[in-house]
This record gives sequence, C-alpha cells and structure tokens, in this order.
Amino acid sequence: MTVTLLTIRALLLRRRSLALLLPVLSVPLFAGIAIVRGDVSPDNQAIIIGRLLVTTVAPLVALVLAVTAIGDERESGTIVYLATARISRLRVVAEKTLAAAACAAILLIPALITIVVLGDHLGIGATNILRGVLGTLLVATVYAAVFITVGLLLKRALVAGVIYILVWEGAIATIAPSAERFSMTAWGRAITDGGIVGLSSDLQPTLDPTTGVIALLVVTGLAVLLGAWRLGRMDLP
Amino acid sequence: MTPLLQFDRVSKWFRDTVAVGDISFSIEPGVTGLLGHNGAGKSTAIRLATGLARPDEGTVRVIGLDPRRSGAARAAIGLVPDGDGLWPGLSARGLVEACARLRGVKDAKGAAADALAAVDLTDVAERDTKGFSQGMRQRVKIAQALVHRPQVLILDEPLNGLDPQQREAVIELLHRLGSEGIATLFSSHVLGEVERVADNVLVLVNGRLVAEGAPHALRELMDERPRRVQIAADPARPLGAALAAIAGVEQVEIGEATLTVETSDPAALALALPALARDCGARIAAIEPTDEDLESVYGYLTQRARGVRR
Repeated sequence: MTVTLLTIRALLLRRRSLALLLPVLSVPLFAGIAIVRGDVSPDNQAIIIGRLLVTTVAPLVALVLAVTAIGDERESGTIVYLATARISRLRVVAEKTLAAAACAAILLIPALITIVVLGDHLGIGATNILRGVLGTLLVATVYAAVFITVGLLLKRALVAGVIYILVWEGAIATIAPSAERFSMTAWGRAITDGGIVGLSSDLQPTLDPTTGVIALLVVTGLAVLLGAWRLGRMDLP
Repeated sequence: MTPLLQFDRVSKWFRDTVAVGDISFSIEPGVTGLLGHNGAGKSTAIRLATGLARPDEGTVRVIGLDPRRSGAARAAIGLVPDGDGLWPGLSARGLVEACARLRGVKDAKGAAADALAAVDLTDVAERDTKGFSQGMRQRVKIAQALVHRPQVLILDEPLNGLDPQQREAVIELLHRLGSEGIATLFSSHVLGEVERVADNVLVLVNGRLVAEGAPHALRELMDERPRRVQIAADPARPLGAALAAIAGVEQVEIGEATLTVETSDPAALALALPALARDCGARIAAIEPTDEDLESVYGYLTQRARGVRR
C-alpha cells in the first residue's frame, strides 16, 4: 500500500485538490435550498444526486485527482522511484487508482452526507440511501481508473476529461436514451436512482442497477489493465 | 561471469535525432564515469540502463536480465536521478523508508537508518525534506538509492548544483561505495570530477562512445593531441617564421598582431619562445591556449574516433 499512501498524501497536500471542495459543496447547497423551500421530491432528489453529483461533481473531482496522481509524479520526476522499484506496473496503476478514488471519497464526504440527509427527508429507505452512496463512489472509482490511464496516454488529459464530462456525460448521454448504454455516469445513475419510486419518465434510468454495477467494475478493471500496459510500454523522463 | 551492467550495440532515437548510437560497454564493481557535454546522451544512456527507456536497437542487461521486464534486474539497481523531485510531506526517514518498502526490503526502518547514516543525514532524518538544501536533497536521493543494497548504483549528474564542500562529501562517498564493491556509474560533464572519482571512464560525444579506459590512459590520449596556442606579438611575422622551425610545431597561422601555433610539444614551445622573441625583437603581450576546454578535447576524440586524425 506504499504507493497508495504516498499518493493520498501528495494529493491531499495540494491546494488544487482542496479547491475541489467548492463544486462538492454545491450539492449540499442545492439540497439545503430544496429542504428549506419544502421542495424535496423524487425528481429533485434525482436531479441533485443523479444529475448534479453523479453526472458532474463526482466525475470532475475524480478526474482532477486522477490526472494529478500520475501527472505530478511525471512532472516532478518522482515517477522514476516507482518505475525502478520492484513492483509491477499493474500494482502501480491499481494503487494510483485506489488512491485517487479514496481521495475523491474523502472530498465527497459533504455530498455523501447530503445523500443521507436528503434520502431521510424523502423517506426513500436505507437501501436506496446506500445505493446512492455506492453509485457515487463507483462512478468516482471508474473515473479515477479511466483518467489515470488517459493521463498516461495524453498530455492534455484534464482538458480531454472536462470536455468528455460536459459534452458526452452532461449533454448527449443525458438527452439521448440510446447513448445511456455507453455512459459511465448513466451506469452510476442506474444505481443511485434505480430504486426511487415516483420519478418522472425523463429521469427514470433505462438500465437496471445490476448492469450499472457490473459495467462500472468491468470498465474500472479494463482501464487499470490498459494503464498498466501503457506504463510498461512508455519511456519515462 | 555475467557483467553487472551491459550495453550491447544499443541505439535510441527521438524522431530523427540519435540520442544514443550503437554503444557497447559493460561495467564491473568500482566507479565508472560517464563523461560528456550536455546533450551528449548521458541521461538517455542512464534511462536505458535503468529500464526507464526502451532501446530502439540492441540490448541492455542488468545482472544478465532486461531491466524493463525483470523485477530482479530493477532490484539490483539504485538510481539517483538528475531531477530534484522528492515526494512532498515526508521526512528524510519517511521517504527513504517508503523507497525501502517499494523495493521489498523486509526491515525498512533499519535499512533506512543505515542508508541515512551512510550519507551523514542521521541528525536531520526526522526533518521534512522541503526545507533541505540542494546538497541535503542530493544525499537523500543517494540514501534512497542505497537503501536496498543495490549491486549497481547509477547517478545522473550527482555533483550538479552542489557547493565545493558538498561536492567533496559526495566524491568521498562515491569513492567509498566503489571500494565496497558496488558497481557505480555516474555521469558528469566535468572532466576533472570524473578523473578524481572514476576507475574507468566512458566518453560520450553526440550519442556515440568515443573513448573508454582508465582516467590516466584517457589523459595520456588527450596529452597526445596537438595543442593550439595564441600568441599576441609585435611584430608577429618574424616570430612566426622562427617558431615554425621549433620541434613539434605543426602549423603557424600569422595574423596582424597574433600568431596561432599548433604544436604536439607545448613544453618545447614554452622553453624556446622567450629566446626566439628576444632574437626577433618581438614583444609578447599575451599567450593563451585556445583549446584547453573540454569541448575541444571531445572534438579531438570525436575526430580521432572517426579516423580524421591518426
């Protein structure tokens, strides 16, 4: 776990990481407004958790942490200490993913508390609250894995990631039902929103939660394998 | 016996630039200096040796294994990189201990304490490396490279940016490690540094290995080359004519008030010059060697390697 602990420490010491609390705090802010206005409904729950947290905030937080987890090591040159160590490239990428996902989970704590508070207010039950937390964390993990690998493939991984989140996940995949099958956040929404009763049809996920969990785990695994392959092939500074 | 580190006809290109071209060498216990000016290919050679870069042609072997594929080969290497980067938020002890764990050392705490003692950092081991001087950071980097007791220690420009006292400490450390039987390869662009530390020297010029041998053999090789001396004299022409007759003088270029003399025997020139100047009635204002810099030595070795001279 040495790589994980070193990465978590490095990520949490960065100001850029702490700045991520700003988008995270938008989730309790909108939830607070809904509660104060007495406007807590299944649809508002799905908009705040499914659309804001799972589709935008969690991917954004995981993206920045993932790109930083590998980018900072390359920039500072400390990646050579990992590359010359007696550990496999697969372990390096897997531990980096774990570290980025763990940091995302730490920074997302205010949003995860919001899921509990909002769910309790709405009376959706402990299972659905737990599904909300699990879906959010799985989306953060898949984004961490995918964008660590993208960071090993592209120089401008952060820009590519932001464009991907805004254009594909935030626009196309939320409007076109057929695109949902290829959207990582739609898989997450299938978990977080799938059990909520009384959702209007345009917010109702078309995928079932089990498919969402399996798809997220499979893509996470494939991304880690691809990242390890890439790290093993590339020249390091 | 398998060499600890072996390059066999290794080449590496970056697009159409040859970073390292067809180089072969092996290193054994003791200190080997990798000498070359900036851009000569030293860092690329080190990246190839440590498995950080893949050769386009040829093979690199560490204890007989490919360092890009073999964990055992990587475990045999200790690398002190050129960059100044250290993981943030860690004390010297924490950082060296982390490296020990990454390299599978069982007693990471004990090994880190030993490595820090070897570089005289025990007293400051608990301090955050953020506040360290460049010399101290360099010693932390050496400690992390030694913590798993490597068979091959590779240092990329370890004396860069150090003050004289720090340089002496690192040079003394390299001597000690070499005498303890670790095969140490270190790069430098300063001839004097390499000469002081290394038992064996590899000279890289434009990615090619142009000379290899003991420092004294290299020095003799360099001493053999013709030297160019510029003499400011008035009048220049009669003195130039007289100098052309001295033993060892191969060429005299006569300018308006300067002479450029190429000689294979600078001592004979120095001895004869005052008397000749007196005889010619010439007044000498300045004498200056024009090719004592390392660049010209490399130039000579390059030309020699290509068969232009001798």
